[in-house]
Amino acid sequence: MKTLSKTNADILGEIVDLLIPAKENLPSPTKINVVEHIDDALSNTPAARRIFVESLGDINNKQFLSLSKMEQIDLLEKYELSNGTFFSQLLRHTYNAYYTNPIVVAGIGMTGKPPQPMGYTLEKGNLTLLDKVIKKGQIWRNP
Amino acid sequence: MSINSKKVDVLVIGAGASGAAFTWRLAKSGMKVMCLEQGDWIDPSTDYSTSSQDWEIHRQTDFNPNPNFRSLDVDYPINDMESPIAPLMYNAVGGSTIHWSAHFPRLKPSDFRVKTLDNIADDWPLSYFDLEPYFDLNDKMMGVAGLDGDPAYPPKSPRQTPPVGLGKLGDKIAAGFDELGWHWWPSDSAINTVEYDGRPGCNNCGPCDLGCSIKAKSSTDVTYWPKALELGAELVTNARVREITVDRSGKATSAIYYDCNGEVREQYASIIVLASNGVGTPRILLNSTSSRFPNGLANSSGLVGKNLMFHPYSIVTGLFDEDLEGHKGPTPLNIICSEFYETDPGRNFVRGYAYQVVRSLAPLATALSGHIPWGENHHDAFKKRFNRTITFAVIGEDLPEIHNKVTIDSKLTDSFGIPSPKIEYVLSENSRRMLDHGIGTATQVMKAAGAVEITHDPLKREAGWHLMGTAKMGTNKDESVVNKYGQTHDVDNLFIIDGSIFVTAGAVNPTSTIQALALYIADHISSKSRDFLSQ
Repeated sequence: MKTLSKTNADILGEIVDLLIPAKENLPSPTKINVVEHIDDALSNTPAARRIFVESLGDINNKQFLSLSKMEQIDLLEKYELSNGTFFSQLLRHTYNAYYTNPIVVAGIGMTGKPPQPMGYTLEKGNLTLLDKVIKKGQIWRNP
Repeated sequence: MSINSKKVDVLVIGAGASGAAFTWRLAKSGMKVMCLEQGDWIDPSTDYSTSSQDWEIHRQTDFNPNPNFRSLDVDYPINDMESPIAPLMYNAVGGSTIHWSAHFPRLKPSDFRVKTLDNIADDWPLSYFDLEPYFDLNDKMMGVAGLDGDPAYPPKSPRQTPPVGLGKLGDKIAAGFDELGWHWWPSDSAINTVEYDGRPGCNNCGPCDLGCSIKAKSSTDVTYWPKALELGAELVTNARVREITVDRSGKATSAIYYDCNGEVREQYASIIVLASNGVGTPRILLNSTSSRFPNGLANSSGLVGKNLMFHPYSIVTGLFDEDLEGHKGPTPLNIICSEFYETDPGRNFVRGYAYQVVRSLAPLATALSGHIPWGENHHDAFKKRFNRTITFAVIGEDLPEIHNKVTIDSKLTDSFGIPSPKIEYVLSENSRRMLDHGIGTATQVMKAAGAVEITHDPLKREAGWHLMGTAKMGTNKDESVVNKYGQTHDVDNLFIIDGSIFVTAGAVNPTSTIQALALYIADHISSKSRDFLSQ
C-alpha cells in the first residue's frame, strides 16, 4: 500500500465489499484489487487522501471490523448522511476501480475490452420512419 | 523579452475550430500566416485513453471538459462561481474540437433575422445565404456525415458520408417521434462514417468526447491543420498570449506571449486575428490595456465580454425495459429534433429549442449516475439501467443580455500570472420557460417510445460548451465590437473570428457556423490584403 495503513486497508476492504457485494459472475471488489486501486489513486490526490485517512480512522474508532454485517451497513448508512464528502468520494473511487476492471466489464455483458481498437458494429437503422417527416415538408422559417 | 525577428502578414491566436479553418484559407491565398496556440499537439495514436481499460476515469481527470477540474499546465482557471453553467473548453491544436461530440448543424436562416422576425435582440449583419458557400466549403474540408433532405433546413450540398447509424436505440426513439408526427432527422456530424479525405470511417467505439484515436472524428488537428501546414502556415504551440500591443496610431502591432519555457516573446504582424473562443478572446482583449485603450482593446463600445451566451441545456432521460445496445456508436446519437425550433406566438417564450438524442451511458458513468444504490440491490439496479437509457439534451436559444459577461478576475491568474476570466451569468426567464417547455415535450416523446421511467435535470451545469456573443458583430460601433467581416470597429487591423462575434446563439451547436464565418472573413481579408499589408 502506498497510502493506507494495514488497518485502514482492511477496513476499506470490508466497506467496498458491502458497497458492491459479489453476485454470480460479478466478483467482490476485494477479489479484483479495488482497495489497491483506491490506495494508488489516493497517493496522487493529497486532499482526498486526508479525507480518507481521517474518515477511516473515525470508522476504526467505532470498532468497525468487530461489528456484525448488519451493524456495519447501518454505520455506513449513517456515514452517508453525516459525512457526504467522504462517502461520495468513497463511492466514486470504488466504482472507478470496479467498473474499469475487465472481469467486471465482461460480467455485465460487454467484451471486457476498451472501446478501441475494435469498436462495435452498428446498424444503420430504420430510415423509413422519416416518411412522415418528409411528407410534412418544410418547417424552416424563411426570413 | 525576446522579439521574434520575422514579422508575419497575419498572426492568428488560437488553433481550434475557427483558427484552423481561417489559417488554411489564408495560407492558400499565399499570405504568410502564423498561429499561436496555448496548448500542444495531441497524437491521436498514443495520447487518447480509449484503448486503455481505465478510459472512463479520464473523463474525471486529464480529459475533463472543465479546465478547472482538468488543471493541465496549458489550461487557465476560470472563476465560474457566479454562473449556473460552467464554461468548458480544451486547449490544444484542434482546440475544443478535440473533446467535442462533433455535432455539426448549421444555424438556420431565421437565426440571422431575430429582430425582423421576432422583435428581439438584433439581426446579424449577414444572412444564412451569405454564408452558404462557406458552409458548403467547410463541410467539404471537415467531412460531414448526414442525410440530405432535412425539411428543417434549406437544401444543402450533398453530405460527404452517410449518416451515423441509428442502431437499436435510434430506432426505438425514432418510433416515438413517428407516433407523435414530430420532426426528427439524423443530424449532421463531423464524423467520417466511411473513409473520406484519407481518414477512416468511424468504428462506432462510442466516446467521441475522449478524442478519436483513429481520426474518424473531424477535429481540426486532423482536418485543416495538416493542409494548412503543407501550404506553409506556421504553428507555434505552447504559446500563451498575454496581450496585444498597439502603436501610437492605434494599430495592432504584436502579440506578447509566454513560450513553453516561460520566456516572454513578442511577435509582430500586419494583421492580428483572435480565435480563442468566447471566453479566451475577451480575456485577451480586456488584458490588453493601454493609455489609448484603458478599458481593453477594441472596447470603446464597452461590449467586450458582455452579452455572453451559452446554450442552456435541460437533460431528459428515459429508461426502457429492454437492452437497447446503447453503448454502440458515437455517444451523441446524432438524431436532432427541430419541431420546436422556430418561434410560435402561442407559447410563452420567443425563439425555440432543439433536442439532441444521446445514447446510453458507459458502465462507470451508469454506476455514477445517481440511480444505482450501493449494497444488496446494486447489481440488480445496474442491470436494469445499463444500456437501457436514452437521453435528450434539450438545447435552447439563449438571448444576449448585457449582464451575462466575461470580465477579468481581480485575483485569479494562470501559472504564468496572466489574469484569468470571471463569468457572471443568470439564466433568463425566457430561457427557463423555453427549457421547461422542452422538458414537457421531450417527456412526451419518451412516453411515446415506451419509456418506463423518465427523469430530468432542469439545467445541466457542466454544459458550457458553446461560448458566444462576447465581441458582438454589428454595423453600429456603439452597439457592437466588430463589423460583418469580424474587423474590430476600433482597430482596423484587428479581427475576431470565433464564437465571440455571434449576434445571437440559435439553438444548435455553433461550430459549423463559426468555421463558415472564419472562412468568409478570411476571404474578405485576402481580397483586401494589398490594403492591409501596405499600411
